[in-house]
Amino acid sequence: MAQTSSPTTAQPASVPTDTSAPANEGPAPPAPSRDADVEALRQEVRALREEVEHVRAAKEPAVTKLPPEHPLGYEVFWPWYTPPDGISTLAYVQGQYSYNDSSQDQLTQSGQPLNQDRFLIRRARAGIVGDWEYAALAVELDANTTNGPQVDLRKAEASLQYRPNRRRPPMVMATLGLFDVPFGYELVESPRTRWFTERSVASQAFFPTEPDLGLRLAGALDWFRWTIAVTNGNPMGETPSFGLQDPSSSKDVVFRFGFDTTPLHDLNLAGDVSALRGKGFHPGTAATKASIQWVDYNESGIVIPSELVGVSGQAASPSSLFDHWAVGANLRMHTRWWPGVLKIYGEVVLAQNLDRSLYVADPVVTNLDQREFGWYVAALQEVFRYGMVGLRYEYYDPNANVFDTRGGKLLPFSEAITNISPLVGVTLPDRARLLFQYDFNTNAFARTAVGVPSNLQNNSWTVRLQVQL
Amino acid sequence: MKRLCVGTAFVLTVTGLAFAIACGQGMPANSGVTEPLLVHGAQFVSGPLPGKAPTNGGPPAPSGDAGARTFPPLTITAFQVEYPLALPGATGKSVAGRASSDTAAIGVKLQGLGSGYWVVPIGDPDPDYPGESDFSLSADFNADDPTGQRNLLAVAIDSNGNGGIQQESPLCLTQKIPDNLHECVKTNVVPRAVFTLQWDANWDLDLHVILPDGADVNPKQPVTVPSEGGPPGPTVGKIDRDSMRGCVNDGWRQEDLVFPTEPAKGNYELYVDPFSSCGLGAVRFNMIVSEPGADGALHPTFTRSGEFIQTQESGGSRGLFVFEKRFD
Repeated sequence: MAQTSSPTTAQPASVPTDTSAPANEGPAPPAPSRDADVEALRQEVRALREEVEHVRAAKEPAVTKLPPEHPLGYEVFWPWYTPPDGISTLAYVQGQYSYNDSSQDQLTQSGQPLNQDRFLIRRARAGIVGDWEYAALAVELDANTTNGPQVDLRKAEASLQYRPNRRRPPMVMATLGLFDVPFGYELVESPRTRWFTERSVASQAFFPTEPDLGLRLAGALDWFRWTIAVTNGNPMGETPSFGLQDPSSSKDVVFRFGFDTTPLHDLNLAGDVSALRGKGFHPGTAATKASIQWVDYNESGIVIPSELVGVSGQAASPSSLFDHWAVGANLRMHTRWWPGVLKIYGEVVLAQNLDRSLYVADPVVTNLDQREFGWYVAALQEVFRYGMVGLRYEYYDPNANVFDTRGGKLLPFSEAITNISPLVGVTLPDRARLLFQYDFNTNAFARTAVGVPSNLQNNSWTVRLQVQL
Repeated sequence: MKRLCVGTAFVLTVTGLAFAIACGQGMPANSGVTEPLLVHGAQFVSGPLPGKAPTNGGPPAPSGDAGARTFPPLTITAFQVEYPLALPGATGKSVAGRASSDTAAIGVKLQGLGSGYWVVPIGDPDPDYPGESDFSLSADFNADDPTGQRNLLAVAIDSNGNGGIQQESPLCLTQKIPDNLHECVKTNVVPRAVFTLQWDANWDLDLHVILPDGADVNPKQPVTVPSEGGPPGPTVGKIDRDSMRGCVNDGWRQEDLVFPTEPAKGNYELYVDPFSSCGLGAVRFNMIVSEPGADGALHPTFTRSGEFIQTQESGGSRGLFVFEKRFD
């Protein structure tokens, strides 16, 4: 709007504002005087408007104080993820080059390559997420070349929910389908947002892959988080493999209770305690027929009676179940200081007969329970929004009661595995990240030159590029 | 600038600390598949076998009476290969022995071969031999091992890595083409001729030889002179095995027609039957004719190679003609 007022004609705000001129009061006042009054009134209105707006702003509800969608730079995990209303999509690709000290240009007895120095697609995932007033769905497909090309389903969640505040997690949610087992933090942290290339060794031993089929109930009340789930108890990748099937009618029950709060503007604290209880499966054997074995003791290539061994047929042996359980706790802190967001977190898990992929637990024959203990602590420091440095220390003891036999003596020893994993990375926020991670691994896979259990050189490093929608 | 320096220092400190803690420790990975000897459940260690070279006198004699036998430190008191003959590629050869009770581990290797040795922890004290502990191991031999007489060496190692006097046990590695064990027992006469078919992938190939009288000798009819009920005579030519039969992996991928004595005069036609690809794409083969040389040993006198692709699998026929061999 054009302003034509002159400072010399301005009237004080208290001047009467009636500008209608009586017809019998002589000649009309000069026009400049009326214009000045109008201008004065306009200024007064502007001042009042500004004053009202200030007051309104002061009284307005604190919308901007709601937790942002990615508080302090991290993404909340399922089921606390708060997607936009309606249908949305997600996709990301993790391509990488890996190197491992233990690589050899040979095959295992079962024909698997021992070489691990290679390019691979670790994850190429795409999915859709739907969120409406009382229902939600999530579908995610994964393709990778970790063990050759393969495609499988990683998430298929059908949910009913009550989520009155659209910027907060649901107060109650019931999900049936394929979802990440809600035990601890690493299992449910998305590989898309996790900076370390893989979960800790303990987590991978207990849960070879994250998802399992089942029913999940969850809810969030202010800072309180609770999850109860019943699952088949057979995640993909377990040994023996019944992944995403269920050879037994018993189910694994998982509880997780925790908190997630932002007591200060630049500080977020969260943590959970988890428990799992269920049954492991010891597979029986099928019936066999009698057979003859020949051992060429004298290397003559000729069968003689003393080299023949009769192997009688065996009846089928029944399958059986054994108890397994785990308890765990984790604590996480995000805080912002001058270089950026600092994340410090850790987790501890105590379990029995739960190792399903590394030192696979099966106490049916030995009657000896395998007690496992694992923990890690990690720190990630954002460096001016475009960089990241981190360090993780992890420990996994797959069997607290293991003995080694040497010289006729049973000697206790530790099969514990430790990893020290520093990483550095650069990122285009919400679009791409390039990282380098080195894993210093210590284990008990080898023996020294005097026969004592020792470390097998197994250090590795990874360069990974991730690009996402 | 200050921020950059602090960030860089943080990264370097973290990385350096981790390197200092964990770098360069432990045993290198080695599955042992490339070594001439592979011991199951043992640790491979690169380098020379500890201890002193073996003496010709065998294990040192114990002192004291039978109830309290004493030995010099780190002594292998008994050491034996179950049967001292091994084909290249033989598996599960049993080796056992005893060592003095100050032994922590046993090191073994094939004398003069390989880049290192294998270590197994010493076993239980032997109740029948006070002051001694048992050891045993199961060994495989590489198919590419040089043939002939060898010694298997063993040494007792203490907890500090010191070795005693090495002990040796004789062992003969025979050659893969059957030579009547001539490589190990020089007085044995080699066969008059051997037709060998070798191949490189897990196909089911079959050797077919058409005799001068037109008979087809193959793994299903493996003798040159059919017997009437009894076993074939010592002079009859015979195919030694049906390798990869039914696509069951036997590790051989080799069939040999062995003529112990002079074959009948005439032309012998050699064929290769690509019976089944077993799901694989291609296979390369060698057809080898071996005959005695002037030194009395068996030597290849003819070799021809070829290749099949999956579309050529026959399901049972005479197969591809490779060569004709004449005996006069």
